[in-house]
Formats: sequence, C-alpha cells, structure tokens
Amino acid sequence: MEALERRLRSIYEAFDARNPKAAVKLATAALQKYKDNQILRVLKGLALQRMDRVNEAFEVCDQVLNEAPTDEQVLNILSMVYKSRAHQAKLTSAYEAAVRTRPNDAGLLTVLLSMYTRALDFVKQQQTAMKLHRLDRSRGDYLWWIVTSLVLQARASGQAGRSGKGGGNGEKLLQLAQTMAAKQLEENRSEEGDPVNALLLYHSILQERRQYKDALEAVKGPLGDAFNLEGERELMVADLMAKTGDGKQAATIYMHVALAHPQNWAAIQGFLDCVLTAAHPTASATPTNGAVQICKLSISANGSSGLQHINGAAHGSDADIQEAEDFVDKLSAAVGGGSAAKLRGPSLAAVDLEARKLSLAERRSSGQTASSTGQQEGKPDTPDLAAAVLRYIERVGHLASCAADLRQAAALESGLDEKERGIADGLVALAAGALVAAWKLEATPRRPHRLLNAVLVLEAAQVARRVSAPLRLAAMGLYGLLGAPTMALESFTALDIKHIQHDTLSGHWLLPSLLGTLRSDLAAQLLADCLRMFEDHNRDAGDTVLAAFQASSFTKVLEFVRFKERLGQSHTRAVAYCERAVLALTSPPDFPDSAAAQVQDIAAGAVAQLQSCLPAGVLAVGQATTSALRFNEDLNTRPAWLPPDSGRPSLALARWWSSQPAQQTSHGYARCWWGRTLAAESVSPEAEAHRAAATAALQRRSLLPSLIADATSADHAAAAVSLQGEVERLAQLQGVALGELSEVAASQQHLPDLCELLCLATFVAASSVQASLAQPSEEALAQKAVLRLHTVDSFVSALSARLSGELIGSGGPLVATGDAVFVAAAFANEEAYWLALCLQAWTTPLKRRRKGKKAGADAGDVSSVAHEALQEKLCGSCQSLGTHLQGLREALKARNIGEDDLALQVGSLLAEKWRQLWSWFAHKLAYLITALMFTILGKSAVDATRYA
Amino acid sequence: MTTLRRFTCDDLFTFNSVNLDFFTETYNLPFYLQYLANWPEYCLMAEGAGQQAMGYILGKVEGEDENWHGHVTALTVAPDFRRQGLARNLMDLLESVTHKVHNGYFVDLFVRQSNSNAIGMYTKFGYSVYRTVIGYYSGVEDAYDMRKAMPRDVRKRSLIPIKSRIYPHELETD
Repeated sequence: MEALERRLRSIYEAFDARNPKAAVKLATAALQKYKDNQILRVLKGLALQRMDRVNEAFEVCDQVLNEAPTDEQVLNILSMVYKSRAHQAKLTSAYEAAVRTRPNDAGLLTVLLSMYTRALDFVKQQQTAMKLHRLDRSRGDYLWWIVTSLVLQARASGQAGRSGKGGGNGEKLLQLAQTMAAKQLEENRSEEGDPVNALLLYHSILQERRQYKDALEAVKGPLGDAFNLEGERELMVADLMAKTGDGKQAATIYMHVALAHPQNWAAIQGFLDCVLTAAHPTASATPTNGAVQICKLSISANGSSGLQHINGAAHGSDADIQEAEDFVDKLSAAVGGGSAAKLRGPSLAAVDLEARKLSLAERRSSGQTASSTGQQEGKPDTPDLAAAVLRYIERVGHLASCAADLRQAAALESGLDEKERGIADGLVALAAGALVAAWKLEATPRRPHRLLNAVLVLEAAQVARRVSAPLRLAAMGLYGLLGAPTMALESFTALDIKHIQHDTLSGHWLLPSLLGTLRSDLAAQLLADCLRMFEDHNRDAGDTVLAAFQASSFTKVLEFVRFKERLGQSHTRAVAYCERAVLALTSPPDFPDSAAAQVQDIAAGAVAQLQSCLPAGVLAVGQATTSALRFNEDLNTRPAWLPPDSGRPSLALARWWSSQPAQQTSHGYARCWWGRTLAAESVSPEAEAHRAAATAALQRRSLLPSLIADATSADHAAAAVSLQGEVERLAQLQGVALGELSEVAASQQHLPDLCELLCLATFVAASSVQASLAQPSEEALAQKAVLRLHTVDSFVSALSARLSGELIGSGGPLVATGDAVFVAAAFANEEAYWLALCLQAWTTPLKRRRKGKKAGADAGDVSSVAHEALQEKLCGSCQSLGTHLQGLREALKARNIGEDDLALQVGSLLAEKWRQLWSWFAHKLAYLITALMFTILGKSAVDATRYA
Repeated sequence: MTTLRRFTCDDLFTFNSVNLDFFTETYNLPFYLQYLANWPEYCLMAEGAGQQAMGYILGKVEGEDENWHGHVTALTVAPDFRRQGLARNLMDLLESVTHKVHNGYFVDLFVRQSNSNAIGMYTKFGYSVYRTVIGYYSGVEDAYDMRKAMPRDVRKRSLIPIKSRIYPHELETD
C-alpha cells in the first residue's frame, strides 16, 4: 500500500508542477501494477484532460463511473473532470450511486445537495437536505433549506398549474413549509445568518396563505426584535393589521412612522391606502376568490407591497378625506423649515392625496363606490390635482427628481388608451419644431439631417400614439418639404381627410407636395376628389334648401344659401380648377413635333372652362377681386415652422426652402398669425397680405390658358392684340413694370420668383413675336421681338446656371432639399415648356415661309433684314434653351452622385423608400427635359447630340 | 370657457381639430345638411376660447308610438378637451331635447363593440346594451345598440334587452 501511496504522491507532484504529461506517464506506469485502481485511472483521466486529450480522458473516466465508485476522493477527481454543465447529470448519478452505498456519508450528501441546488431540482434538494438534517439535528440551517425548497416547489407547482401542466399541490407544500418554519422560529433556530431573513421567509409564506394573524403574531413577538431598519417592523405590523381588517390601528401606526420619518413614502402611502381605500390607480387589485397565486409569491417580500387592503370596510367618505388632509397637514408641520424643508415626502403626499381624491370622485360619479351615496353634496372641496402639482413644482422643481416623482405619484397617464392624446404629446411636436429650428441654425442649411431627425422623432412618437393628428400632420409637412410625396400621401390617407376637408385641408396640405414633385397622376386624383365635392354640392344645394324649407328650419334656409355661396367662392376650389387646367396643359403630347398645336386646343378648352367655373371677379380685368374669394382653408392646423404659402402650389415647396435664411428661427405657434380659428379670413395685416398674394397668384394662374392659346395661335394678328392686354395684366399681378423686367430679374434672389419672371418674360416676348409675325414687314416690331427674345434667353441662362450650380453643389442625403430641385421641376414642367411650345409654334410659320421663298412662290413677300434677324434669333433661342436644358440634365445626374448617408439618418427601411422616390423624381425630371428638347430641336437634333 | 350653441354649416370649416381625431368620422355634406335641416335642435357645438371647436353632437328624433325616441348620431370631443365632462353636457342637452321638446320614450345610440372607452362612458351616463347589430360598421364590426329610458317610458319597457342579434336591414329606423 505504501508503494501505491508513493506513486500517487509523485503523480500529485506532477500535477502541482503543472506537468500533466508526466502525470499521465506516472499513472500509466502505476496502472501496470495496480490495474483496476480507480484513483489512478481517474488521475490519468484528469491529466489527459489537462493535455487537451479530452476524448481519451472521458473514455478512462466513463469506465470508472460505470463501476459506481463510492470513494470520495475518486468522486472529487471525477467532478473535476466532469465540471462542465453537460456532464453534471452523469456526475450526479455517480454521487447518487455512491450515496446508495453509503447513505450516511455527510460529505457525499453535502456534495449531492449542492448538485441538486445548482440544477434547481427543488424536490431532491428538499429530500437531501432532510437526510442531512436527520444526520445532524443540531444544525438548523438544513431545516431552513427544506422550508425554502418547499416554497420553491409550491411556486413551481403554481406555475405548472397555470400553464396546464399539472401541479396543484402548492397549498399543501406551503402548509408544510409554514409548519416547519413556525417550529424553527419557535425553537429559535435561526441563529446562523441574518435572523430577519428567516422571519421574512416565514412572513411571505403566511402572506401567501393569507394567514395574516399568525404573521402579525410572529412580527410582534420576540422574533420581530430582529428587524433593524427604520420603521421596518412597524410598517409590517401596520400592513398586516390592515389586512386583518384593523385599518384604524394600521393607520395610526403608519401615521406614527410617517411623522417620525416624513420622507418615508411607504408609511405615507400606507396611511393613505388605509384611509382612502386604494383609490390610487397604481394599486393592483387582489383576487377575492381566495385562490392562492403561488406563482406570484415573492420570497423577498418585505410586507409593504402596495397591495390593496382587502378586508377593510369601504373608505373614502368625506370624513376620511378630511382625515387624510389633516394627515398631510401634519406631515408638512412635522418637516418644519431649514434644510428639512427639502424633504419631498409631504409635498408629494399632497399630490398623491389630490390624485386619490380625483379618482374617488370619478368612482363616485360612475356609481362604483357604494358608500358614497348621498355624499356628493357638501363635499369639503373639489380635488385639485393641478394645483397640488404646481405647488410641488414650486417647492422642488429645482430637483431633477421632480418629474419622476410626479409621474409616479400622480399616475397622470394611467390607463390612457394609445389612441388618446397623452399629456406630453405636444412635446413631440415641439421637439420636431425645435429640430427644424436647429436645422436653420446650422451652417449648411441645405443639409437636411436635422429635418430627417425631426421626421424620425415624429415617426417614433407615433409608435406609441398611432393616431395622433398633430404628429401625422407635422410628418406630412416634413415629408412634403423633403420631396417624399407618397409618404406625405400616406399620412393624408391615414388621417382620412375627405369631403368638406378637401376645402379646408387638402389644398394647402397635400397639393403642393404632389405638384412640386411632379406627381401629376396623384395630383389629378386629389383635384378630382376635391372638385367632385364642390360640384356635388353645387348640384345638391337646392335640395338641401328645399329640405330646410319643408322642415320649417328657416334660419337654416338662409344658412344653406350662404353656405353654397361660400363654397362657390372657395379659394381652394378656384385653385383646383386652375391647377386641373394646368395639368391638362402639361400632359405629355401625343407627338412632340406638333405639341404646340395640341396644347393650343387644350388651352382654348381650358379658357372656356375657367370662365364658367371661376367665381366672377377672378378673371375680370381691373376689379377689386379679393372679395370675390372665400378663404376656407383651416390654417391653424399648420405648425409654426410651416407657414401657409400664398403662391402657386407647384412652387410652394421651393418657396419654403428659399424663404429659410439661416439664423432666423420661427417664432412660437402662439405668435403665428395663422394659429387661430378662421385665420385665413381674419383682419390681421398678415392675413390680408396672404389673401391679396393668393388672389393675385390665382389670377395669374387663371390667365395661363389664354396666354398659351394666344402665344401659340396661328392667327398672329388677333393673338398679338389679346396678348398685349394679358401681358400687361400679368405684369400688374406680378407687381412688375414691363419696362423694368430685366432689372427686376437681375436683382431677384429667390429662385421661385425668378422662375415666375421667366414666365412673364416669355409671354412678353410672345406678344412681340406674334405682332411681328402678323406684320413681317414692320422692322421695328421684328427688332422689338428679337430684343425681348434676347431677354428671355438671358433669363433662361441665368436661371439654368443657378439651378445647375445649386444642384451640383448640394451634397448630403439623396432627398429633395433646397429650392433648386423643386424650381428645376417647375421650370421643366411649365416655364421651359411654355417657352418650348412658343418656339415651336413660331418657328413653324418661319420654316414654311422659308420653304415658300426657296420655291420662288410669292416672290414679292417681304423679307427684311430685321425679319431675317428674328428668324435667326428664334433658331438661336432654340439652341440656347437646348444647351441650358442639357446642362441642367447633367447637373441632375451629378446630384445623384454624392455622399449618401441617408440610411444612417433615417434607417434603412425609410431610406429605401426615399431613395426610390428620389430616383423617380430625378428620372421624371430628366424625361421632361428630354421631351422639351424634342419639342424645340426635333428628334434628329436630339438624336445627334445623344440626348435621348 | 365653453359655449354650447347650435351647430351651423360654417362649423364644417373649423371642426378639423375635432374631426382629425381617429374616432371621428367625416361624413359627406348632404349628411350634415340633412341633420341641420331636419333636426337643428339636435345638432350642438361646444365652442371654446377663440371660437375653437371642442366637440359636437348630432342627433335626431324618429320612430313611431312607443318607439318614438331620440337618436345620437355622432358625439365627439377633440382630444385636447377630453376628461372635462363635455360629452356628458352634450348628451344631457340631447336627452333634454328628447324629453322636453319631443317627449320621446328613450334615447338610443350605436357604438362599436371594440370601443370600450365609449361603452364605459355611455354606461356611466345611464345607457345599457339593448341589442347587438351584426356588421353595422361597414359589415366588418358589430355595434351595440344602447338605450336610456326617458321619463315618458315609466316602466322602462324600451330597455328590456333583446337577446337575438339582428342585421342592419332589420332595424326599424336607421
């Protein structure tokens, strides 16, 4: 045996020297002599494992395990080999086998107990602890181990019962645990460890079994002396008393503790719970059918769980309220002045009291509180939660905890439906507004990052408030400004805006976004819906008046007549008719080569329609027209950062961007002129200016079909006469003196205005060209026409250069930002198109004339030098426009290449949508430009320059 | 701070703060005008400071004999003005009109079965479920027909619930 000892020692030494290789060698050698020796084999296994020869190690050790070793040393070594969790079961079986052989081996049992505990096997844990307890009854800790195991089993049984997997003996187990714990406490066997722990365990068992009297005795008895925290024992006693029905006594104890420690919130809450029966919204209801909810058992419960006191009589009478108010007064008095005045307890108690009173009043009014019958009259005072909250803020508003305290105490949003408006929802809209303001202050205002952040803030808030109209509207506004019309439309659709709201909301909220981003399909649909409402009412109004007569509702008769007039004069309606006409004018022509002729027909039709649809006074010349319109737009739905636009809708987005100088933040909503009911029709100077500008813009728009019809007309003489008057009116409406057109354009900073000036310049030129074409022999007319075409060219040049420059210059995420992209869209869709149509219409007769001259026919026809010059100029204008359009297209392409961190800003999902929208927008714009080039240069020229 | 007055056509231009709310339906113009023409006394608007629309009620009186009753067609309060007892004021007025002006037997209303907040509110106002109307809301959702007896219905016969569920076309009036 000694020889074996020696060999073992040398193996251990090899282990100590961290030389597993030597240990394997020594063990292998020793096993030659002691073939079946378990220690040697497991030591070899351990050494093999340390050499990372894991499979061999397990092979050796598994053999030993199968022999059911009982030697503690062997088992210890095995547990080192099988220490990973995966092998615990194997090891546990080994120990179980060993224990079966040596049932009274305390060492083996202790290891086994720890294994069961680790494996959360509560039953075996309990059984093993029991065996250990029987081996040495002097030790109390195994008994507490058993009690704890029983509680854990009861809890597991409750959970199994709830999930329908059997269980149900939880109550018996708890009963057993209670008996054992009571006996232990009686024999005072909790000397090891914290005695309060044992007491709390016992207490939680009793609470769970609703044996409040026993629990009360235990806490009151000598064991309770162990409680050492401030008021801990008293609070537990009070809680149990309340639960046994002695609310009065409980309240006294709570008050005692609270007055001694005015910051003890549990005591304050306890008192108020006793006096005003759990009227507090945060209190959870206790089941009353007596079922034990073991799964909810908390073995760390400290007795002040905040549960409703179930056994007390119904509270909340006026006397009770008075008592609670007295208590809060006493609390405040107990605090006194000086540094103690910083204690939050008493002030927060006042808030809590008001919240309870309010809840109680609501219960009373809904008839839920039986005891309140007949007590509504002569109440001491009405609950005033707001005043209490204000006092609290005045007192401790300087503390960071103030908001958190109030949120907890007043439970301000308890039970709020996600579709209701939350108290702080307005803050989200403010946050979005603040981000827009922050964006303005940034050095590079065209980088939209903060605006994208604002979108995200609004989207995030809508996860919790799915149907908040202010948040949706704000998001709709931002999506519009950032060139995402379909996303704006999604918000619009979600808000279910329809019928009369087409008059009050659609026109100013959605139309600019659709027209500004060239979504003519969606815009046409919106305008159709909008106009249907007006037309339907125009048709039905008589019926409604008749109905009012028949019902003898005579005041309503008058009202209905006024209502019909008001809708008939609606600014939105007039805008809708004009924009529908423009959409028709800009619809893609069947043949670009003869676009002018086709558009001429459409324009003539539009003129007739507008004359019949627009309110009298809009089309008339020289009349005071603001009164011809009613501004029914509900502008106070717009946030402070999104002022109403007064111009043509397709340039509204561009105008917003160009009117946003850095450093200038918008004032608060309360100071916005549009932030009030009926703002659009108010007498404020801003509103008057808005109406005047909007009326002028509408009138300019309404002139467009006539201008185009005349400018492209083959009856040059008549057209020239008409154009003369129309152009003068257009200039007047635009506030420009015709002679100063060039100067005005040169000083014009805003791209949208420059764009509209080009429109004026085009028709001014049209007036001259038509006059010249009518009288080709008049040199002065031809010269004037050339001069005016030259002005147009310079306008196109200036505008294109600025647009191209800004498109290339603006980096940042690929969303439509800045005025350039929106002005480019308006330019390609309208201004450049009108010009292209004119050029096409004017060059056709010239070409015809040239052909005729070549053929020698009509040799007597006058072809002055000046007229030749006009011919040349027209060709030059076509070439010039073509070149600038090409430049714009290149710039647009360049806009596509650039830093693209959109996904970082708004997340990949939103970014993908946005990217598609941008791609669509850019593509549509490029397509329009190509179509324009066809119109002015013809297919062959475009092909030659590979523009197609 | 609240003016309760008759609903007028012009209110249609300023009621967005109420109607943009998710629970509030915007009807077509003939709908509103029909109510205003026939039952102006049942159409009331609650207006706040600055002529702000806070909420409104639209209703009518209909039925024959013991079924002569007031009906709440729409009752809505803007989110900003909830929890101030405004809905109760408007309902009180409608009930008062039903009782004093038309001497009706009861007041009834339809409510979405899923709208537990509204059901709770009407219950608080003294309404009880009389019957269920299958697919009343666009064929998708059932409605509760809730009623409250007026003093004329002394024995409260109008309130005895009907167990069987009915379809919208089986309603006596709609």
